[in-house]
Amino acid sequence: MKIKENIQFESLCIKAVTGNIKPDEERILDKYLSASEENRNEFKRIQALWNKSKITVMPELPNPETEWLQLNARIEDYERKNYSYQKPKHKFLFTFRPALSAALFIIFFLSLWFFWDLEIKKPDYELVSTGNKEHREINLADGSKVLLNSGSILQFPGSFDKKERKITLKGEAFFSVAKDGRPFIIFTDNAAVTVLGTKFNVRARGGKTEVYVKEGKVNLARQNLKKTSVVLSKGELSRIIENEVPAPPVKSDPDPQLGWMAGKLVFDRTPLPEITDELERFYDVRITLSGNSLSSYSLTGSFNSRNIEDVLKMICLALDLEYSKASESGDQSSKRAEYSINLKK
Amino acid sequence: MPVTPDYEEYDAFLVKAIKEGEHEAYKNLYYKYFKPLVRYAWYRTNSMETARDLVQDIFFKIWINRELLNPAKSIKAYLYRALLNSIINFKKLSSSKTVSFDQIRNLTKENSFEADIDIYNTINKLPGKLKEVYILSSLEGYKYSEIAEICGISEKAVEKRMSKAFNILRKFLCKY
Repeated sequence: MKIKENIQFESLCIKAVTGNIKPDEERILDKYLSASEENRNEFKRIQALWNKSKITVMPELPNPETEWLQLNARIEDYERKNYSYQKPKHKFLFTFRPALSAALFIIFFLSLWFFWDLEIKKPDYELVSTGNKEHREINLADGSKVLLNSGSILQFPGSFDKKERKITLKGEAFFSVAKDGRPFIIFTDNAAVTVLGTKFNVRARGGKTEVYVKEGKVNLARQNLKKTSVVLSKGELSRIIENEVPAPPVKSDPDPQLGWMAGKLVFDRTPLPEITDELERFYDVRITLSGNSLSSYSLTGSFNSRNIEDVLKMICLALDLEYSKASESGDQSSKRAEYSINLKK
Repeated sequence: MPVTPDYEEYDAFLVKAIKEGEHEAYKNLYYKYFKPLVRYAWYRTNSMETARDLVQDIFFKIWINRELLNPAKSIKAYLYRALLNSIINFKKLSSSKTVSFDQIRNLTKENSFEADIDIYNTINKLPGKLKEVYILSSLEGYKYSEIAEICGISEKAVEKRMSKAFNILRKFLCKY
């Protein structure tokens, strides 16, 4: 073979094994391959070299979620420092600065004296809620961080009690609790989750509280009966349904529990009504299930599509159902798209 | 051409939003590129700690200097360029040039271990430009067009570099 041809042949082989070959080039390659045994062996050698050079082993990657929280902490820190160094711009403020700061000083101490009693007795509560398609990150007074999933409510005091840190959750959130000696307790409708300093996910929806632990240890108890509690370790999942005793902790895959933070929906034998609830929040749509029999369906799988119809298509394909989009003319007040899932006719 | 145009448009869309201070877009960009960048940095430094630090630095700077972003330019190329620069700087700063393979050793079964080290060493011996192209193709399975975008060269040049890299690898790993 001529040298120029040889180079072309080799380049085509490489394109083929790396998945870069185009249809017309494939035809040329085929001609080369059928021309001689030598060429076919050459192709095999290139393919073997490529397969061999694939990186097969790699240490575990750092967790994107924890890295993300760290990155944000760093950004916040940087922004706080930079804003506090801004110089006063107003002439008035500048010239009267000593007097002004003295006045502020006095006002501050007066108010401190005035509010001291109130503040200890009645910690002011803050309420943060998320709508559909919305996530929010909340920094608590003790340095703990909460990532609130869509359609959730978190209630917490501006400053915590001296003995314990108590907050209330409806919905789902991921907690990164800072260690500071005081226990941290999350109350849901039916459960109390107690920790010291760990990372974990709490999903409190529809009378059910589910806890998945990413790091450290977590205590899960019924709301008013703390005697019946379970302790969960890293990678374990447990739940309390209504007023039942907590389920024994089991090792579980993190994705169904933590996937939402990466914009992924992961279901593991999840009942269809729970799935549609999750989709409604995730895509800000409305989905109705027509027929009672549909609530007994359940599904395992993961979705990260940006398009709700793709997801519905996949679900219906898997469960042998049908979906339809409601006509837009109906309710003018809500702009949400409406879908319904039903049995195949 | 089997390229996915909406992919690139999506990146440009994210960059525009980040420039306007949209934190959610920043998060999306982060989740899209975090793993590939860490993998790439690990391969070039052989240390997961270093890889993580370098990648975090890059994302940190993107947000801090978000006003300077240019939506007309490929953010993917920008990310890899920035990463490559910090890897080069890191290597200049770290005096010891010995590389430890403990991380690979722990993960590999005895049989394949020696072979993996051979491959790793050989790929790292490739000249910088060839190595870059080869790793992007092998590690992330990027298409020639994507590699061309990242490296700021033509697809034809990618093709040539791949051929050269294959030839060199072959000489070292004479079995093939």
